[in-house]
Amino acid sequence: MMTVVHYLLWGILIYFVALHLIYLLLVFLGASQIRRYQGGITFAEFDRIAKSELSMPVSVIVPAHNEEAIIVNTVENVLKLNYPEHEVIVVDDGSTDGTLAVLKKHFALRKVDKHGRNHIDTRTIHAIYESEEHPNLTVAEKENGRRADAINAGSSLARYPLLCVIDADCVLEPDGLLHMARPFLVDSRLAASAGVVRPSNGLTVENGTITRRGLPRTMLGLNQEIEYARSFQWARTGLSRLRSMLCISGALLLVKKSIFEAAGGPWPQSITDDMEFAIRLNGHIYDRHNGRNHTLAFTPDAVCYTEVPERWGQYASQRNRWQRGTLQSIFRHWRMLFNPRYGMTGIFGLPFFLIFEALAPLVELLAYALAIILLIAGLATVKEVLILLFLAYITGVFITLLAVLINESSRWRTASWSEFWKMIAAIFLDHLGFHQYRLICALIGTFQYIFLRRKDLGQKMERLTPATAAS
Amino acid sequence: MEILGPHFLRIVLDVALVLTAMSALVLAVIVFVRLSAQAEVRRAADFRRETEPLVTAYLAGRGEPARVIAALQRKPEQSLTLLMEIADRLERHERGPLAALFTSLPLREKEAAALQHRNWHRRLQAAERLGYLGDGISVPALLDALQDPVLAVRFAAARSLASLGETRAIPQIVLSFDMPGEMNQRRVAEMLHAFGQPAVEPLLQVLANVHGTYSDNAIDVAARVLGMLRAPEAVEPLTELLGRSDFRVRLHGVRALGQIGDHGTGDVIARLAGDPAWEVRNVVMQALGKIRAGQHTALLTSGLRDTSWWVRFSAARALWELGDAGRQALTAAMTGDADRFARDASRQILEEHGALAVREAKT
Repeated sequence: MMTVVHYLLWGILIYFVALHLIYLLLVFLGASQIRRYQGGITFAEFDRIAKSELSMPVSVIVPAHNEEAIIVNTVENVLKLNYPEHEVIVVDDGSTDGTLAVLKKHFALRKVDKHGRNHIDTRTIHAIYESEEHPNLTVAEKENGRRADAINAGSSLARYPLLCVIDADCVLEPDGLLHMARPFLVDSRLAASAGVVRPSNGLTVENGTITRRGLPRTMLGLNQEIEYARSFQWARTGLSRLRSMLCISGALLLVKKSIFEAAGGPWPQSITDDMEFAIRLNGHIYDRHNGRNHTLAFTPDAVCYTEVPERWGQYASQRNRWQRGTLQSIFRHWRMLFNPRYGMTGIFGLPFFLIFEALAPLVELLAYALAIILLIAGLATVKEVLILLFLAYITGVFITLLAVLINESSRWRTASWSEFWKMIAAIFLDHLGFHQYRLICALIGTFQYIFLRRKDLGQKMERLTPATAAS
Repeated sequence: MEILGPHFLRIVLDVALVLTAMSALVLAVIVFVRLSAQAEVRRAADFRRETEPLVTAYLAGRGEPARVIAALQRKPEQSLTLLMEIADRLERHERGPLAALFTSLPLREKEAAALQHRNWHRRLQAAERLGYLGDGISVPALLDALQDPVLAVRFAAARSLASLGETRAIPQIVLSFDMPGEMNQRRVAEMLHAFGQPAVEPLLQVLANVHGTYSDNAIDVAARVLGMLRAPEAVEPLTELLGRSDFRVRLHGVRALGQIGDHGTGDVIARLAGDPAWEVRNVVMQALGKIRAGQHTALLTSGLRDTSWWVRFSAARALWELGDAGRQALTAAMTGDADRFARDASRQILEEHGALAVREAKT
């Protein structure tokens, strides 16, 4: 028994050290990548792209299901994007509320007889509408089939060679699309670029235009602000350098249509279609058999704001779904694990995702359980356990502070000192309850996925109405 | 915790304390970085507030040049950024008076030397700055920069040469960017397009390729730019490209002819309507639409039955461009053509232009 405990303790310790060493490596890689990225931007480059008649036109696909409260703002925001040529395709995925009605009314839609090219099978599209006021707006009304199915339907209607997928609750910076498209002009081998996602709670949007960038008001929202900054600003930047950016947020993705179709589009049965598609996209691009002629880029200054849950129940549901989706996506592509055929993605990316993301809640649970066993067996004192917990706490704080340092050294610093100190406070509070809550949600998700085979999308987040939140 | 060794806890505590100290240090650095960034922004804003009105007045013919130059020379780096921003806001022909201000800044030699810097970010910055600062003296340094191993630096140097109007550099630019790939070629074409009409003559020489110096990629780019410049003198050499074996060369030749819009080229273009490459057939349809080749209505109608969706779509669009005759052909195809794809393509274009009554979509 003692031998087992001994080995388990050493195993957890090694896991902890390895995890944080990788995080540290990602921080440095992320910092150098951001420096490199910023250094490569020439004077007035985005103005030049905006004026360029040679920029690749983009089809922006907005899948929407029961988004009556926010859809008009989102569409207005996307229509106003500063980009030489783009069309907006809203796919109403069988909404049961007034999503389609508000779109029809606000944008003066009229039904047209139009057909898409069906490269990917989708549920039936009942009708297609175009706007009399905005010639670049198309709305498709289709049978409900989850977000992935709506994206695939949107892609069949897209006319342009680049597809940009954004969530219906997203607000983009006016130059967001220019920033996302820039890597395609610089590197012709680029297949897709992903952007940064930040919480929109605290943002003020008027008629689709961002007028103020504030922070969420609740502690839970603030905690997610930190979490997103940590996850996007350095983790993904570093992972993209290692060709292991397997978690591309569905909230903002720009992909070549040809690659999107070759990879088969998102899988409609997936719990988190963005994650599953990101893994498949990586597999497709870095597969030795496909010639590895393409790359993926992370664009650290293309920002998209999305609403994050500020109610504990909704937050739990979201994290539960993410954990189930992570497990499903990894298990679906298990053949890529440790497989050199997929290059770094197979050797490092997917194993990292499995061991340090998907299985992390189980390892952490084991660590807590062992601490209790040691206390009960008298093999450790409360003071000793507290010292270990403090090490875990301060390591998390240190790594997150490094992420903030990168932020502050770049052009993306927070606006005011009061917001800055709120962020710092949130960093110190993250491991004092919020992290543990996430852990419980992920553990429940793991249990439900493995033992109960739960594959539904969980509770849909209740949107804050435009009057009180995003606008 | 002795299960993990006698000194384990001591080590853990030491590591935790070191991390605590480092966290405090990082926090202090963050605050310092933030404070210095704010101070820098404030200083830049103050300088701009003082200097920008002087430059604006000078451009309006009210300011005294010596006074403006003296103000700018106090902080040359910041002045350069400010002048570059002002220059970008102006139309090209309005920038003339700024030249005196740019040349007054003691930065030209420094920037020309920076083109040899080991950090490519600095070389990039220098290459683009010389486009504003430069004159004839900077040209040799910029021409050398066209051989830079970093593509972004080469692009910046070429853009600067374009903004200096150095047309003699065009053949060398074309050679420096001899790269395959649609996106690369588009970037090069756009940059060459910035030279304007003076670029036509050197590009015609590239097309002529007397000494066989230029590859098909370079020819593609030259054809593309001549089309963008709508240069009628390029019609003949472009027509010769239509017989080339590389389909991309044929494609760019046809596209450029379509952009130039010479009605006399309709028959030559139409000969490629049966090209084995669908990309070429596609641009043939587009070009026939652009030059309003009414005599090829039948050919465009047969394009509606092409095996490629894009060719059918472009054929339908071209028919619409032809006016009444083309629209009648589209309506006839939509209602009576035996080919389902031809009917679909026709319906789509007619619907796009609001020429059909709105009906319930089938799928």
